[in-house]
Amino acid sequence: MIKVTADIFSGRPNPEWVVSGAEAEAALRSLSQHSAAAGLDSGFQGLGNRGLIVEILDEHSSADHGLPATFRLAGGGSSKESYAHETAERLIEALTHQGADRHPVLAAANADSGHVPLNEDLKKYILAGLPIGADSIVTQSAEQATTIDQAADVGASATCMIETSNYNPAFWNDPAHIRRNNCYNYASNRRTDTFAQPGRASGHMYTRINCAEVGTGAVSDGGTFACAPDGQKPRWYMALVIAPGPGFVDYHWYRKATQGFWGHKPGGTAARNVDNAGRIVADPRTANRGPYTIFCRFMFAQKKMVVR
Amino acid sequence: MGLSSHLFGACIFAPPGRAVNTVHVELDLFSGRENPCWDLGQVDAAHLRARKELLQPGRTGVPPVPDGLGYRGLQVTANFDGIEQRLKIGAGVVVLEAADGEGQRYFRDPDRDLEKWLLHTGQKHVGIGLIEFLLGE
Repeated sequence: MIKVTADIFSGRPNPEWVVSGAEAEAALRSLSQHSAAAGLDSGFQGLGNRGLIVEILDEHSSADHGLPATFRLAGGGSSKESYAHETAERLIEALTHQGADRHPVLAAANADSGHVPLNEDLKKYILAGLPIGADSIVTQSAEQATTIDQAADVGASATCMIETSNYNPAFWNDPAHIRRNNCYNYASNRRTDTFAQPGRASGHMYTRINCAEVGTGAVSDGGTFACAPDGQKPRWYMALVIAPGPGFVDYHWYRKATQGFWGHKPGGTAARNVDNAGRIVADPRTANRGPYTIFCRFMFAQKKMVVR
Repeated sequence: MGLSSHLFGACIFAPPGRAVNTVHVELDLFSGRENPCWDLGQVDAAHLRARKELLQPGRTGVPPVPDGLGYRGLQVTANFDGIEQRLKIGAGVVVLEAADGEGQRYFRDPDRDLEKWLLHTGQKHVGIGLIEFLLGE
């Protein structure tokens, strides 16, 4: 037996239901086979649909399937999100089944608790809003992606096509990798464990830290300032900024996520989607960037890009 | 601005100290570039050890060690008599993390005295200009 909570609301109680019998068994078996369960603090953690929270209500099922007693599903936090979505869709489908809303473990059993009714409308709402999987890549035009893409820096590339993936900080914040990858690794979406430097892989590492040198180093590695062809998918959308000094001289990169905001990883610290003021990075040009006061430009990683 | 005067030795993959008393200091600062780092000599290592023993516990009202873009404090890996400890020092706070997983303990660093002293031990590695910039933040 499984208790499922759709983690979608901020203020009001989240919808809860129980799945039992063969449906529950099939879901747990699939999750176990494909390692699609993720930690509760993984994946998308912002406002909106954060996937499902699954609680296994009998101890032997947890042990039999090698799954944690409580985990997150289809929130963008596992590396097997396509399987996670398949199972999540089955569990969501079951929310209108007979008896799904009647179990002592459900707070929703209290009619006055403010829960939304478990019906077809809710089912559609949850399904439509599930985060796109971490292993799913979305292609969109830069112009549609966000208004900032129409900035002069992108100029002629206003119709460039880009790829985004779901914000997945857990991939970068793994203790075995967090200190070995920096902002350039994150922005180019290449976890090389080398604390990558623009231009180093291609033998043209920057010799001074300014927009031109660091940007050109990234181009030398296979990045581009111009639109990249379809054959170069995935074309990650990156932004370069500089801390010009005096005293403090460095560069920093951001990468756009499917959710519309930008993620980044300051050096060997945790990947995040907030700026120095704790605000979601909706626009790297206007984010609080501390000493990185110069916004250089947007550019694109490409399939052929190699970083080291 | 030329890079040569800002190049520091990489330290992120430095192995734990093997000598009896070693102190490895990393200036947690950059995002793209590798952080500067240095090792304390025996005299400074003994001084740090003595000062560490005098730290006063405290967490309530203590600001968090800074995170995000820019200066994030000092990361210290100390090995005293074969026991490794990790400290994070910044913003008037010292966070002591035992390597054996015993958890974190918080101490006060009034007026950032310990942090300032440690920064100056790295003067010949990072330059006085950067240290003055950090202390002036």
